Amino acid sequence: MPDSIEPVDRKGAGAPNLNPNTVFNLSKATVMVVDDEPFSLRLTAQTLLGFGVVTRHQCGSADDATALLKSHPVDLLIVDAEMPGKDGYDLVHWLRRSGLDNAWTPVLMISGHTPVSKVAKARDCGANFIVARPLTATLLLDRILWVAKDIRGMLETPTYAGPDRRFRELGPPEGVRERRNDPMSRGKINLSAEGGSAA
Amino acid sequence: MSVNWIMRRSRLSKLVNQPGGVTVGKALAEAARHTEEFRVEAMAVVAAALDELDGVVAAPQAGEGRQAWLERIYFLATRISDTAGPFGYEDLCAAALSLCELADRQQRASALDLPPLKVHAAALRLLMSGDQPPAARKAVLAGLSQVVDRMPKPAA
Repeated sequence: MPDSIEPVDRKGAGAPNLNPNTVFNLSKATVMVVDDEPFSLRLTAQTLLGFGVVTRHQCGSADDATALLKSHPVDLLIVDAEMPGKDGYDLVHWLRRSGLDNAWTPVLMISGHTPVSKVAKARDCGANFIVARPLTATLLLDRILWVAKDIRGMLETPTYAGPDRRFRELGPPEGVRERRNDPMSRGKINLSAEGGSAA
Repeated sequence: MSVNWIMRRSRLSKLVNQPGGVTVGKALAEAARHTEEFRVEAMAVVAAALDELDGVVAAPQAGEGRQAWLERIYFLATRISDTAGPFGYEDLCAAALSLCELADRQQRASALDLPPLKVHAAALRLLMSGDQPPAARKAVLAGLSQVVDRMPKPAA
């Protein structure tokens, strides 16, 4: 994975730093899991059940997910990056441009290995966070709680739609490298908190 | 170039802080309880993938079938890493991801170098057995890394 793709965590980096006494409530959150591997799909859904998520949509393909996203509100999307045909990157790229109420739903992209041919897609798909496998329960919960407090604005440009990739206030999860050389990095430029559109 | 900047707090961020809920410790314990029943099935999936991988590697395809053959190896490697990873088989997962990288490089280079693929398949078997001490497993992974590095990484 090249340096240009962030945020990404890899084995040995970005180790979860969860406080066991932290309280959270996902009981009313609707979470959609998209994975072409039936076993991984069920496993992730069971893990979410352990986290207290009651409503879990399980989709075996990007097409199934597309249909559901058009008709059901979703609070968090967990997508396997590598799927045959329309992959996870395609799905999120479509979602961000869909104009649906779900268009800016937080997205965790689960990735094992990113083929060289898909590096640009991975970088520009618009996911909030790319989580590297192996996907343990601890890592998944850590990233869910991180993305729940992700206060970054969303950018919509002709070439990119998704979270502002310049970390300023929140920063990436504990142990995950951020782009310190980016002049827009945290604290260097103070953008308006109001947002809006600019030309 | 027009840029729309949208500031919108997600519903998830509001829900997660609602009264009630569970502690992280309890949630992880519950998740472990819910997923542990999958362990035996996971290992069966991995074993089946290793069997298929052995068969595929033993029958290399030339010509037009080569890319599909490498794609199948890549797919089986991802299946192994995806399935074994959540259950703590980190070395097995790392070796499978190494095979992903190798298969991807060979696909991109339109090259076929069979011995490194065979080495990976054998290493996955070895790591699956769990008989080796940590130092030996680490050495296996280091060896796989060297094998992959012999093939230049293609440009994106």
